[in-house]
Amino acid sequence: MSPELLNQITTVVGVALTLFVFSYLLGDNFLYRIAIHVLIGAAAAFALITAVESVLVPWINQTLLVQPTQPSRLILGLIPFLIGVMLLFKSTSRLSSIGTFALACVIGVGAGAALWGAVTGTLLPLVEGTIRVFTPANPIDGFIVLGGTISVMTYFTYLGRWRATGEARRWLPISVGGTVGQAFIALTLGAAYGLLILSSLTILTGVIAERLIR
Amino acid sequence: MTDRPMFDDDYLPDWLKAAGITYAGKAATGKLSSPPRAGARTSGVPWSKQVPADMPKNPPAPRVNLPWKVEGYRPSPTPAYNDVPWTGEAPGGGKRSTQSTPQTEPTELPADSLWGNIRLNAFGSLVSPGEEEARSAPVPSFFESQTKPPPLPTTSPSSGSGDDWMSAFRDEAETAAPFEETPAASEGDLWGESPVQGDFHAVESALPGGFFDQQTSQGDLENPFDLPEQSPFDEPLNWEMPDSGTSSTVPPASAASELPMDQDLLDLFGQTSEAEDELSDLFGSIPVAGMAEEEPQATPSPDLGVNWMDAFSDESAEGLAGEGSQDALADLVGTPLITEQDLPGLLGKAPQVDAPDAWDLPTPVGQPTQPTQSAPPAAMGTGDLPDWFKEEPTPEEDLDLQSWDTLPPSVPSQAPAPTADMPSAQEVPDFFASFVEETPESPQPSTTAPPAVSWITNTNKLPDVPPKDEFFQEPEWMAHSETDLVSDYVPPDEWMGARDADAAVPAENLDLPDWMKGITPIEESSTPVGAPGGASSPEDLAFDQLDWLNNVDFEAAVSAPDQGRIQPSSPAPRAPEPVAAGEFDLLDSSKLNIDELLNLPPSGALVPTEESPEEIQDVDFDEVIDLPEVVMAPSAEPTAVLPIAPEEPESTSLADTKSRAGGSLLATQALPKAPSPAGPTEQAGPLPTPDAAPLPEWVADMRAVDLPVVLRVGDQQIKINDKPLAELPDQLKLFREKSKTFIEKPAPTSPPPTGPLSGITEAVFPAPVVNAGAVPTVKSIESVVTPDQSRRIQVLQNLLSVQDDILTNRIDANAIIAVPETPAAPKKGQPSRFKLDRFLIAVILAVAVVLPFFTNALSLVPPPSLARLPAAVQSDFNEVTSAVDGLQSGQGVIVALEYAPTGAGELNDLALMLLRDLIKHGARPFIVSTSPAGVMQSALLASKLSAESPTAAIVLVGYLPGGPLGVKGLAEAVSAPGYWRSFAFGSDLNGKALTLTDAEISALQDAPAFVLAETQEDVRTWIEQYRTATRAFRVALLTSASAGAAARAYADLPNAQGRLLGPLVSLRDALIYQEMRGLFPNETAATRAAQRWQSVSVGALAASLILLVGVFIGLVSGLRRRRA
Repeated sequence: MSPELLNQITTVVGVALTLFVFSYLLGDNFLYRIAIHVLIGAAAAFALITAVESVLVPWINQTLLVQPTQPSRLILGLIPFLIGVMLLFKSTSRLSSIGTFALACVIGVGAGAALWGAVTGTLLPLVEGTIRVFTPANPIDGFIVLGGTISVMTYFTYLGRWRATGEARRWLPISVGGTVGQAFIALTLGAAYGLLILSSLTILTGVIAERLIR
Repeated sequence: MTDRPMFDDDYLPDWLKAAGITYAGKAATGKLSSPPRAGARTSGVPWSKQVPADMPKNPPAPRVNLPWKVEGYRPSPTPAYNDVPWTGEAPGGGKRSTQSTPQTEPTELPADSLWGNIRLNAFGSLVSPGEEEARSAPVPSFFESQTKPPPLPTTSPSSGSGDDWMSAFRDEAETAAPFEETPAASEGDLWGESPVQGDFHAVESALPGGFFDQQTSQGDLENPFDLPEQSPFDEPLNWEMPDSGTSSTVPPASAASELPMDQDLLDLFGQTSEAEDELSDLFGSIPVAGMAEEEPQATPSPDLGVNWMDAFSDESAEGLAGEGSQDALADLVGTPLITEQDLPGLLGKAPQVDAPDAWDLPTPVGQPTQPTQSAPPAAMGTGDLPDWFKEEPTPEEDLDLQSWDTLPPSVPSQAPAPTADMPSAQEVPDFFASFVEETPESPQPSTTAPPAVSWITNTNKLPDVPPKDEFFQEPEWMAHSETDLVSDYVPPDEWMGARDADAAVPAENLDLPDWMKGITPIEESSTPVGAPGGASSPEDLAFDQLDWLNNVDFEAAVSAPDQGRIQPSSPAPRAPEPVAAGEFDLLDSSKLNIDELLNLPPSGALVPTEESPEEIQDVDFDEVIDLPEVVMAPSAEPTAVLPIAPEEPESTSLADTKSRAGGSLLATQALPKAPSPAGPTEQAGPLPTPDAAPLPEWVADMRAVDLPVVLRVGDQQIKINDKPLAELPDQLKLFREKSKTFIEKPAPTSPPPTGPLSGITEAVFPAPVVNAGAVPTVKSIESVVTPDQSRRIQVLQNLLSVQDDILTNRIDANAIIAVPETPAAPKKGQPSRFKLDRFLIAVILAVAVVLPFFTNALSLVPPPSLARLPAAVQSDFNEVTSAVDGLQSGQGVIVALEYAPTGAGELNDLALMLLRDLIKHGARPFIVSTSPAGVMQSALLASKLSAESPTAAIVLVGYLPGGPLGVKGLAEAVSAPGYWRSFAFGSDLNGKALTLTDAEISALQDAPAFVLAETQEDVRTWIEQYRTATRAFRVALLTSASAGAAARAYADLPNAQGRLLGPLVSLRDALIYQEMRGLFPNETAATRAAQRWQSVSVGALAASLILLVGVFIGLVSGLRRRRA
């Protein structure tokens, strides 16, 4: 099979799968599900191949099979496998406690790294940016940003008093601030939705330009 | 609790044993001793466990937070050491005088001379250096502990309360008995030293039941043996009991006038002085044989060791029928201790003795025929006791009185002050005057408040003591039953009023010692002894009085003297009805008939108990109480009486005490016949049925009113005394009777024969079905409901009806809403219904997107241009282009493709644009991704770029496992060489090894990482994690339209300047960047890009219009639905 032929086959298959996906405009149908299943299966297979070829094989080669054998690398290389084996015990109820330690390590390390990054990379910079947005050159932006931030945080203040009717009534400043925050949230979500539409249209146009029109 | 006899001869010192003296008496004489009772006084006592069997001779002094330990209290120079023959020298170092305390001019010794050299011995008594020297001599510890300072008179009910003034003397007699048995019990000791039994076990055995329990409950006594040394405040245990003649002797009036005294203890002194007055009156009519005159001769020499005991035993023990046996004394004297002529005077002037101290009295009651275990074997000086004293009840009798609940409520001591009424030395009785004259040179004036007479303790020279046989003969006073005392109840207010009149002397006028003035008034509360929170706590008894208890013959107390003769010195039993109080004037002796007073038959014949002592011992007290015949009418049969209070607070009940003490107290035959609850005047009336109530009626009536109810709020407490039943109004009495019938426990029902509850006793039977006819009709309701109540009911009904209407409306509304039937969901496999709206939307969007590629008619928006963009956006382009321009040829640069095939249509343009520019500038892209799909895209792009430019050096580093951790590891690998570097850059996407040097990898730090992010999460991950602890690497953001907002937010942060480059967002910026950098490979590509831009623009416009139309339709539909 020549590369040109293979390229032609992949182009036809690509066009077909694209049409199958577009068929969802007419509702959930067999063709759409075929396209989705092919996509998921191909992605999973590719992920597996990538994990094996890009992660496991290089890891084993550089730790367990490295020449000359280095004990430190050997031990280090066994740790992921040990954790992985322990995680396999989570599948059984009787031995699931063995995998708890491995799970704790994975979740704990991930949570620690994420928390550290969130605080230093997102929370503090955003707080600082919110404060520094008050500049004499553009005070309106500062008030909008500050008002939006406070009002959105107020919206998520779940404090109120239960009334006899069974409904909770929030304190008036909290209620008013929450309403303003709700408006900011609606605008944000609307903008995100519009951007998502733009992304979808861009993708659509790209497919059209590359696959259909050429 | 350990099972250990209370009165075990093993506890006695060896010298006593050598002398043939046991608890049972002097075995050598064969008159007093008898075989020890097996288990008669076993350790059912709670305190037995606190006393180790191997008690050292001088264990650590107990730490006792005694009530008299008052702040600011300074001990006055107290003649703690008098002429105790066995103690050797005085605390001051000099030879102590054998004389008693002078009465006229008491000399206050320096505190250090008296107290400073005193320390506590193991049993709480003070020990002076002289004593220590004396202990080197063959002096038993039994007597060492008797050298105690005068007890601080506190407000113990038995001591401080005015109603207990007479019991003080009674207790004196009881306490003095053992004291007088010893040679130390001289009159000198009377003022200075508190005779405490050296044998602690003996003291312990004499402790009443529940003593230690109450101690611990009050939290005062942590360790009974942990008294601090050199603390006269903690030690003088017997000071607590001014009524104890052995521990607190009475100074002369003149001496007392000079003594510093606390204002709060005025009543106490007044009481005691009053008692002294009473004594003087009493002695005028009571024949006292050889009391004061013989005391000097009875004082043993100071250097008397064990030999004195022999002489003592030879002298007195032989004649003593039993230690502390007033019974024997009664027989010895041959005359009633208190005659009928004396009784009115006593009753009229003397306040009732507050009996609660009896709660702490030892519960066991021995038999008269058996020798006692409590008293030391030394001769009991009862022969020198006055008649009235001999008539004092034994502890058992006191206990009986207690249990009869005949005691009036305790009241604060209001006895007259001693200064005004206290007789001077010349006014005291002869026996007392002689005592005063014989002890003028005593250098230690007594600071003890409770007045007592010297003959109390100076009884070691008793006259002839009747032989044992004579002693055990039933005296006449046995005919007086305790039951008769019930009818002699005198309301407390009456005798209290009389006593208050005598106690009207202001406290300021009293010459009290300073240490007594430091006592707070609350300590004079009339809390009964042993009552919780009472001033006279059980520990007081334990260390102040229990020594005398140790010497009390409980066995002999069973055949106690006539209770009627005790009446003057003890509170009259409270009868259910105040009958006796109103029938005659107790103050007027001329009107008083003893038979009438005691409710005795005219003959007054006393029938002795015929039961053997063994039988008496085996009586279970609880069984006695529950005997139904107890509640019957009083019987004329003379019996020893030991009634019981039906209920006691805080386990101070007598029954509880008795049970702890070991049980058997009374012989069944000795049980009294219960008096009539109605009294003599109501005996004809119906008596309550006894079998229904747990306690007999007469017992229930005799509620322990003398025990105050302690209300504690925080650290404050208020003691409230219950009113006697006799003082209750008629309405309350009637209510009480009704309530008693109400609270009666119903008889257990028989188990139901059938049903699920069959066989279960006391099962609750199902209630019968309510008969409809039994429902009250409206008319019947109206008959019992007032119009106002009817109106209120109507209001409530209206409210309920309104609420019902609201709820009904809500239900109806919900039902209406739920009425429209939702179309049934199409079954699986069936084609869904054709949706025209969706089809139209799809068609419109498709046309809008596709048509720009075929026609320029739909070119509605101009092509993107950098010049038309805002300045901020232009700066973003400038940052990215500057970063790319700053790359050197062959320099590596990280390019992260964080998007899946779903975002490839949008980001592939940006990726291609960027990679082409990097390749154009000779940079070496290192493509990485945290998503396998991104790695796949990188492979596609790499193949495409490789096709465009075969010389392009693109490194597919590949997949970064772990998401954020992968980015973090990449940053660590880039920042410094190490293991992570070798692993991250060890192989490419296909697993092939990469031959990268550390310099090439380290050069990645200088170039920014170009991140093509599809989602906000990808943007945040790279911004947050692509940094080390010391350095944050630069990141150029190229994002999709959906992630553009988040990227913009980060990039616009003031502190992100210089680190975050961009962002370049979606197709627009890709076209602009390509236009700027001239990256279109050909003109067609540029045209396609322009057509695509138009397509996206038209499609966005169409989508916007569709959204607006959809919003409009939705509003209209909503309005229609709402109108509907």
